[in-house]
Amino acid sequence: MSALVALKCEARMRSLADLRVDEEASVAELPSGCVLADLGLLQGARVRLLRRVGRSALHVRVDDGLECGVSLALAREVFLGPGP
Amino acid sequence: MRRLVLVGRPNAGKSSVYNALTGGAARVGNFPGVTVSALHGEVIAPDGAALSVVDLPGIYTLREGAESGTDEAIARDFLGTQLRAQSDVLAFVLDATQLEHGLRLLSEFPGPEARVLVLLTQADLLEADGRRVDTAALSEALGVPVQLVNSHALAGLVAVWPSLTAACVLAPLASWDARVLAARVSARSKQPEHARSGTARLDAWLLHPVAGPVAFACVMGALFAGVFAVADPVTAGIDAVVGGVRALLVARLGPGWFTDLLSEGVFGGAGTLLGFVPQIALLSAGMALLDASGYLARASLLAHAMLGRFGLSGRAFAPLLMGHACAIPAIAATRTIRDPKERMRTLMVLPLTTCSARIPTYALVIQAFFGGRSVFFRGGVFLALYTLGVTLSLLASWVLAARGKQRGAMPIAIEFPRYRAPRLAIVARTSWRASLSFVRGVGGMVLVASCLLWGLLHVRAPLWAGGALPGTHGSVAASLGRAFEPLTHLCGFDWRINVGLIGSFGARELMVSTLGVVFGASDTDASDLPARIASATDAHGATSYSAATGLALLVFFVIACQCSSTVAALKRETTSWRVPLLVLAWTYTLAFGLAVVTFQTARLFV
Repeated sequence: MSALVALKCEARMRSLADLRVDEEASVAELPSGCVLADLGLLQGARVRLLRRVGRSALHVRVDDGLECGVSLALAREVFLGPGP
Repeated sequence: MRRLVLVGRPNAGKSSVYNALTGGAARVGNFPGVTVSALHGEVIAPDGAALSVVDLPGIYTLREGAESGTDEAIARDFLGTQLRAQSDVLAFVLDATQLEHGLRLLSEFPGPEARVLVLLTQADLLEADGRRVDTAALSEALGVPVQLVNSHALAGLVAVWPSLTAACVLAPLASWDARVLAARVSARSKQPEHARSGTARLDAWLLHPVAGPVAFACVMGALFAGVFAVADPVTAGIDAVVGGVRALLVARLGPGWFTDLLSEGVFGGAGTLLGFVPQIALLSAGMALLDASGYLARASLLAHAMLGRFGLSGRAFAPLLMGHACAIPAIAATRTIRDPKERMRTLMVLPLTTCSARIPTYALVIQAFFGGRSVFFRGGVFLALYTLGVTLSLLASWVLAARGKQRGAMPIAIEFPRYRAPRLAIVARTSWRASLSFVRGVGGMVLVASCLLWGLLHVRAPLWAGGALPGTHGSVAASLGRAFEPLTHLCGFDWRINVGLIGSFGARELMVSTLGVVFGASDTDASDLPARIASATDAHGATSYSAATGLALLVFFVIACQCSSTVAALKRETTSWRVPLLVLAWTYTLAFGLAVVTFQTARLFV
């Protein structure tokens, strides 16, 4: 198994449940299925997890204090990458 | 005329700047083809000449690729095609507490055709945060005037006039970078987090996994209860005033067709229209309160979990909520939904939400057929009708999403503004604009429909179509109603109910007044109408309707898109007849089918 595949498998096994408050991620690219306007909100930013919002979303802080709610589908790509 | 065009991200304080610059009393109108997306107000500038202030919708990006009809596309199209380099000044309104994000938007402006100035808002929050921005350094780097303002305390146009007159072309993008520049001109003088601590404490409760949804349900319940509790007596007062005016008119002018037309057609239609203004105004004010306080964004995310199961996202929450007052502003509000397929799904299902125009008909039918039951039973029927509307709209969205192979929840990111005490003047202004927009958008249609209906109810049909029958029975409307009887008989409707349904296609609001005319209720007091409907007999003297008819009529009225203004709004919003025709086709098919099933099933039991 190549290192790349191993990395992807590791990412897939990790779930959002493993994320901890204050965990950070960088948003470099437009996550799949995300629309342009949302990219304008997050692109190029460092995102820090503040809290979970129910079972469907996360509350995050972006760079200079802007706070956002992001859906799980988006959070999954932001924090865990696009997956294999 | 010279123009000052305001551009900025949502929640940057742009609307506050607009209101401050125009004094809140400026004429507010719509751009052709853009409707409520961009506001403009005309003011007299300090140099004595007129100046038009344009408020573009809040946007996150100006890049190519935004879907047509969204706020981003509307703003980008305006800047791309309607900007006049000679006479326009672009004011980029940036939140000083989130400078990097604002500068990123500014960096996307293609320039250098227009003169630019930068207004940095939220000066009060910046200070509370213990931060400051070096506006001189920022101005030097950008090559344009930069002014820090507290938009809530901005003293009109004169306060920004020096910056406006000094506006010039933006420095080349190569000379500055949003992130680097924001870091260079921003400084902090005390510990961060302090000013946000109130917001953080509230979020700990309002976004809590358990307390959050409970608070959400309480807020929404309070909103609707408050709207109806306050609106009902006001509406009753309006009805009484209009009824009095009609009675006075009849007394002064004497009997005759012209008096009838004025009293029933014109004033009847106007009364119907005005009766809904309190609910529209109150729900708009409630939503403006939630929006200005910062809670609406959180509520949208909380609703995302539920809506996501049905192919919608939290962005559809506000339009669906607004649809419970009136579908017309709700249709315009779908522009905040960035995904075109999701927006289309929302437009397709919005007419199913129970708008306030349905309520008088619900009340009439429930009183006519279930008036003898307990108040809890009647309340239960009312609640069931609301639930049926919401359930069917979500199910329809789910079916549409499944057909479009949309799986799982849509990915969304929603900005959470800080919680702030709403400014009542802005809330009142928003409510006033929504009410005015409703009256302007629907008013003409309701009046025309009301007068047209009066004509159909008073002009005699040809003899072969029953024109020899006495009174309303021999009218064109009655003959139209009879033409549909073979079909609607399956759901228990006769020509009289058909006439009501035909009349209410112009506007749902007209159902009650139409039935009033058909069933011969008093012109100005229709309190005996439920009893007249319940005791109506057919040509053989048998009772015309049963409770099964009432249930079928309610089901039909929940689903059918009985509103020509909604159809017109859908056409205007999608610039095509395809969506409105699809909405008409599927809602009428489903409404008729379920009404037949309801009637045929219910008649076995009642």
